[in-house]
Amino acid sequence: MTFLSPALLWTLLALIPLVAVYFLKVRPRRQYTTAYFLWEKIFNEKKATSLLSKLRDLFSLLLLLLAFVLLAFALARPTLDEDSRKDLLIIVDRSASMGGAALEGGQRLDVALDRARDIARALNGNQRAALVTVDREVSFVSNFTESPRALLEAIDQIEPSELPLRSEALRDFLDGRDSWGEDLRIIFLTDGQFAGADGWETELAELLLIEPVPE
Amino acid sequence: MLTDPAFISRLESLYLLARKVLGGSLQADRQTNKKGTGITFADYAEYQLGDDYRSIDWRIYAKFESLIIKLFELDEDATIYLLVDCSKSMEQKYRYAKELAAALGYIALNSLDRLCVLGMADQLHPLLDPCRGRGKALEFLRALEEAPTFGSDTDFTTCMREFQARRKRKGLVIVVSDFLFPSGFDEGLNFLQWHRHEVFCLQVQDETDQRCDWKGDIDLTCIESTTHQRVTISPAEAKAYEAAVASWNEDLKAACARRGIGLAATTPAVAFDAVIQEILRRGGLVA
Repeated sequence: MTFLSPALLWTLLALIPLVAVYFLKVRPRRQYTTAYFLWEKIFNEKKATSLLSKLRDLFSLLLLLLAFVLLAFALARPTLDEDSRKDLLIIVDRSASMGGAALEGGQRLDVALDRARDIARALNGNQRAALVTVDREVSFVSNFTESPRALLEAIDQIEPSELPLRSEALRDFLDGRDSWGEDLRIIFLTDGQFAGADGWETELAELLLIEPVPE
Repeated sequence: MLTDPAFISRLESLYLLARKVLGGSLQADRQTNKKGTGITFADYAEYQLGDDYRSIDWRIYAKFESLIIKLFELDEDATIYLLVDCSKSMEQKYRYAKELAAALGYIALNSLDRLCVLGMADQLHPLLDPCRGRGKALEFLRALEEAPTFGSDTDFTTCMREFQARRKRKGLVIVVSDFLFPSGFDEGLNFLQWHRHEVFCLQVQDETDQRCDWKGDIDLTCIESTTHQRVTISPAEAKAYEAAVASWNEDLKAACARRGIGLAATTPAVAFDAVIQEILRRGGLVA
């Protein structure tokens, strides 16, 4: 299990003042009685059950602590998603065709970069991602990193290329992925306007298509 | 205020009722066996050297040539002792207790009985020295009005020992208190009876004494000794307290009945005149 917002687990530190406040609780209100000796008799008889009342107090404290711990865990957003443990390799097609208009509006490369940014922001603390661009050649823009900010900065540096995409370069690059020895998930952001796009094997990389405006 | 004219007129009404119902005295019967110089003939006795020769019955001497004197009943005024509980536990009911004591003391003074007023808590404090007569009524009311609460406890037994040490003269002892004595009331009542006093108990308790409306965690504190402890009061404990107070009051009732001691129990919800009227109509301060 991992947490999408692990930083919020620091709220568990608030358990310390919570326990302190529970035991140092506000002084009970003073009530005066004219028959204190009668009350003493009543409470002396009840002494046998005082252990029960102490346990009752402890039980309510434990319930309070449990509720707080569960709340802290809920805020940290735990997840059992298997894919989220895998490292990510984001490949961005920056070839000349990505300069064209996208169906959803804007330039295709801009749309691809926005999607790459979304992926970078969704990284949890245990997942790493690397950024690679491809046109005629494959280039590493960012090595594997856990920092979404570093990835976002790398994405901002990606410029469009005038060169066409050479799919052999990409395939050669991807063929070497077994030697990386990582449980890796590869996402390829492209408009699909390259040779060999129709018969693309998804086991090489997941294709995230940026729909071009039909001609 | 006890010296307020409106209040004094209420006391006067009660005295008039006492005069009508009981002949003016709080005690129903105060005949004594002692012989003395009264006006009511009691008996004859032989003349002894030193006797008052004016008591010689000359008619008997003329007939039998024997010196015989007449004996008369001794007119002895009754002594009323008012013991007012001045402990801090009486603070809420103090005004009411003073009103009751004022009514009883006023009737006693107007009936020409000797009145002595003492305040009791952990010890006895005199509030009014023994006095007699209607003219002392205002002084009595003023003394009662100004009497503060005192002491850090209520020790009835110690007070009764002290009372007997100071006041050996027999009389009618009226105790005005809530009777919530940590050391109990049996020994004190026994002490009074052993010394041949007539006793009447006037128990004053209010709702805070008899009921418990507290719930949850509280710092329970004794109003007299300021001893305290943190406790949690649930409905079960509140009910147990109310049962304990009711049982305590029943024990007092039984103890008074066993000893032939009169007891009247009241709360501040009942006007003090109504309480005194009821006592008078029942025949006075009798069991």
